[in-house]
Amino acid sequence: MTRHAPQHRFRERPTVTQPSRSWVPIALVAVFFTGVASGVGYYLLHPSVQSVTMGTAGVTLGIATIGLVIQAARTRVDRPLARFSVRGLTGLAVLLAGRKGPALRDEWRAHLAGESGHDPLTWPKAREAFGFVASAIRCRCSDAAEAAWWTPVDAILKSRMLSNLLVFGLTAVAAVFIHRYEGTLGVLISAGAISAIGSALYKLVNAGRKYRDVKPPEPKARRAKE
Amino acid sequence: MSATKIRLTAVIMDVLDVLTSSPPDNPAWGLQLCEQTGYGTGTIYPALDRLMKAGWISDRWEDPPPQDRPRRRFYEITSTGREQYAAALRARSERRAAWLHPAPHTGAGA
Repeated sequence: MTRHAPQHRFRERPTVTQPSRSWVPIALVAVFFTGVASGVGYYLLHPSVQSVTMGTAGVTLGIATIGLVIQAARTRVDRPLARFSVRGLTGLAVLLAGRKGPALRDEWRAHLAGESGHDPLTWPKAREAFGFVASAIRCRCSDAAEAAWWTPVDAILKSRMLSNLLVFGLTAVAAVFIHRYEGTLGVLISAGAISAIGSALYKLVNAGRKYRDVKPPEPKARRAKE
Repeated sequence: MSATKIRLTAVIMDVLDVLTSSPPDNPAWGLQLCEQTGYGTGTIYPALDRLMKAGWISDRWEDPPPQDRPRRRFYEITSTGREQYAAALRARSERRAAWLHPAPHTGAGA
């Protein structure tokens, strides 16, 4: 397989078929002749003819302007705008990705370059670049959730001492709360509810261990020395 | 910290199916995965990230890097991933079977 010479790396090549630019000379000629005609009509002709000439000139100018705008949008503005959007969105996604950004930038460049490796950056690519932004946001959210929620939760679930502390601590808080408002008798009356809180927390910890596939270390055998 | 838990969503299964069926001499990469699964970039790359964190897949860069285009990042399913995926699929099908065809109640009568 022959390898191409390293030319403009990572730059898309121009497509073979260039869009038609037939509107540009037509519009320019129309604008020129309309301008001449309206100038002649304004200075030389009767006021009624002047208004017709000026109206025609206005319509022609309007049509020519619209044509030029469409043409420009199709040929000159569209491609750079798409390229700018794709690059901007990809850059934003790389920024959002954080420390994974540099690796993802290379990967996404390869993605945008397509199978051929030289796909032009068009509007469908902008949609893919928008997907990169969404992807970066989702990955960052997942990382943040992992760091802020699952890391401490896993630490508690892994440690027997911490999970016991959590269960007994929260149960004790419930008991203290009842004691504060209802006194010792209230605690005795609510003993069933307090123990239900404790057992619910214990089951929650067990369910969390099963869900996260975390196993705490086995408790040391008390009679090991015997 | 425990490894990221993988839920067998449709996206994850499609990605793993493509990776499992990819030949070693032509491993899958991002665009190929998007095309073969039909999902967009905003779905495929987070799924790949999750699978990477869980250790189910591994990545490697195209080597040697081509001169005329950006290098690609290839993904391959690891042996752990293959085993765990198979186990997860088995468990899933068992759960489904138990749900769809519950075992007949055999009363332990005298």
